[in-house]
Amino acid sequence: MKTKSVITLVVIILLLAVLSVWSVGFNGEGITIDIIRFKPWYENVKLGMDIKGGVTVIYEVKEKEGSDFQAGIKSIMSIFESRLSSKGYTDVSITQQGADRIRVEIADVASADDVSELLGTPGKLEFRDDEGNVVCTGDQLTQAVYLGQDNTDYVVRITFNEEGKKSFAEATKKALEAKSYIAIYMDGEEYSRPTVNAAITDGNAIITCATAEAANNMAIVLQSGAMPLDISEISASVLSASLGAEALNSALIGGLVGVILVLLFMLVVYRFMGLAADIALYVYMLIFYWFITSFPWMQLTLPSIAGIVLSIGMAVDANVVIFERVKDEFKAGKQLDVAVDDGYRKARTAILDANLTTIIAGLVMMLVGPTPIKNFATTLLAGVIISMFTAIVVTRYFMKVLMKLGVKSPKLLALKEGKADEK
Amino acid sequence: MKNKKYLYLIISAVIILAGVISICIQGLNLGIDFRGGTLLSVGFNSEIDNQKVIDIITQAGGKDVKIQKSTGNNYEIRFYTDENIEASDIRDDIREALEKEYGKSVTGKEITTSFDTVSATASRELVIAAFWTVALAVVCMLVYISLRFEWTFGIATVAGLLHDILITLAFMSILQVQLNSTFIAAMLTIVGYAINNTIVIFDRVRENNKKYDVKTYTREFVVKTSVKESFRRTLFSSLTTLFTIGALCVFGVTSVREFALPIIIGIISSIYSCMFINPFIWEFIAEKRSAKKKNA
Repeated sequence: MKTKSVITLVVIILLLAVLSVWSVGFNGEGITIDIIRFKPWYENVKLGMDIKGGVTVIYEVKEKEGSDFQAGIKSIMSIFESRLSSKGYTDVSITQQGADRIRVEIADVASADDVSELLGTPGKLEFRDDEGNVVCTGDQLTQAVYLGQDNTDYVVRITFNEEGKKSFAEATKKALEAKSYIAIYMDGEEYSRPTVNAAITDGNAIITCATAEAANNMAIVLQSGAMPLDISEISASVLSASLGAEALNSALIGGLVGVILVLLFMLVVYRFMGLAADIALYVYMLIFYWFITSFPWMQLTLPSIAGIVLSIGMAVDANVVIFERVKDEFKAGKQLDVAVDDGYRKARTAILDANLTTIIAGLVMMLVGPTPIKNFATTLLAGVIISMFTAIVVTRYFMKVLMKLGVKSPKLLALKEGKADEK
Repeated sequence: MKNKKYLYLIISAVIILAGVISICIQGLNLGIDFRGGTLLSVGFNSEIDNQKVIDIITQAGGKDVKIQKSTGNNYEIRFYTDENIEASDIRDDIREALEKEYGKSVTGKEITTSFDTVSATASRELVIAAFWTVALAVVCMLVYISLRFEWTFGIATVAGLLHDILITLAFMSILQVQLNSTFIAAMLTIVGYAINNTIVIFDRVRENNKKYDVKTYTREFVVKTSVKESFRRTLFSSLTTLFTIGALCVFGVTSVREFALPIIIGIISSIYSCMFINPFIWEFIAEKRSAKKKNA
């Protein structure tokens, strides 16, 4: 009986040790066995903008009569994407928020104005003749759509307004006579040089491309000269990477100090019972660490770190409730084994009630709360659920093992026999 | 003995009253999330002259500039712009002007800046979202408690919750802590925590109600015994959370501190209310109810 529990204990401790080493990656290098590299878990962490540093801009899109609103938003988003990637921004996330918001996050950018300018102002689109004279500009263009395949060509249709119609007609006439072209310039750079095959007098021109992709891109680029809907910036934030790193470091130091205090407190107040709780807390942190690094939708932001640290404090709550119960039961004169069993059983309803109310609050925050609150709620919820497992099941197991190994004196478990203050 | 009960109530009432007065006089220090405007955080390399910085920002088109030192040479500067000036138009001007005055050319080191702009629309929406999130969470939890316990406990719990929220707001106003969107999360954490603590004690009261018969023991005795029995449990379980959140408050950057401080105050207030306020409110209601029954 005793040897069996020693063996299981050793196996579990070894397992925890291996997982711990793996998680931090052994000097941060990761562990390579043969050709498989076990990379440290933190390499997978997705950091939020408030830690990574960068620019976050939120735009509000205004509805315009007679145009498909959602399709407009989609096309604005793809315009943003093509503009940003053409300027070499790689770590970009563009998402729709609610019905009429677009959230743009770009890492490692120092100035919001570069981004605002790039996104918020319409691109400078120009049509130039073969001598380089500007014949039409982007604001004379009302629409550019990719129409699909026509025989072997892929077709984009562009439409000009009244003013553009006239000048474009003139320019095409001239170009046709000279058997020349009209070049398309985007932000001062030549983008394309379609040959003119006919004088276009009705303001509707057709441009043909060799591939569907090229045609689609052409439509987006031309369209970005004219945003389909009006947008306005409603919030922007720029955080330098160094400030973000400072925030992360300070939160980590705070978290570490808090954890050490909690571990010591439990050990001092509850001795070997506290040791069982401390081991469980370690298991809790390991599971939580795995959790935040393994799920693609988990993002580490300052509010989510606050949620984690808070949940560590709350994770041992359940243990305090249980241990105090065990103490009461033992004081009432029960045998040690019975007192522990009864303590766990009787504490269960209070723990369940307490955790369920936190879960209710967490769910509400996640469902109706604004974004930073959602981040906080996700980690808080995860913490409560994981801690219910570790605080009840894991401590229970280690308590049993410790008792089997001979930790049976009440003193070691911080238990007091006492009829003295019985009422 | 009876006087002590009222003493607890009086202490709370005094703090809340001070809070109400403070809110009337200086209000709450609402951050840009709730009020709109721009928050500019600058890491300078040297001491700055506040007035000069205010002038730089005012010249660029900002108004109502407030400068607050955060740590070392790091400053948080809040300002607003007129409706017709887009904050995005003047951000670069301000940064350039500050760099010229305090940047590399003068001290040899770059200064770090970060901007945060929230429009009036976005901040108005946040206030509404905040209100509904907290209200919905409270209602959900109360439904849960009423199902698990009797309605008399529900009322006592609401009273305690109001108490904790008011105390927290009072301290936020008196200490002029800046409130941003994370304050909603802090509020909800407090609400959740206060309910946790109350449940632990009411769980005991419910148990002791069965153990000690109402005919031989007074309710006052039951309440007092229950509070005494769960004292260690309430205190210790809250202490562990205070350790972690307290460490965050000490080591964290401003935005983390703004989140941690209300939680600390809320938790302390909830320890107080769940031991000294809620049980006695419950006792009061339960006594009234059984007196009514007797008369009927």
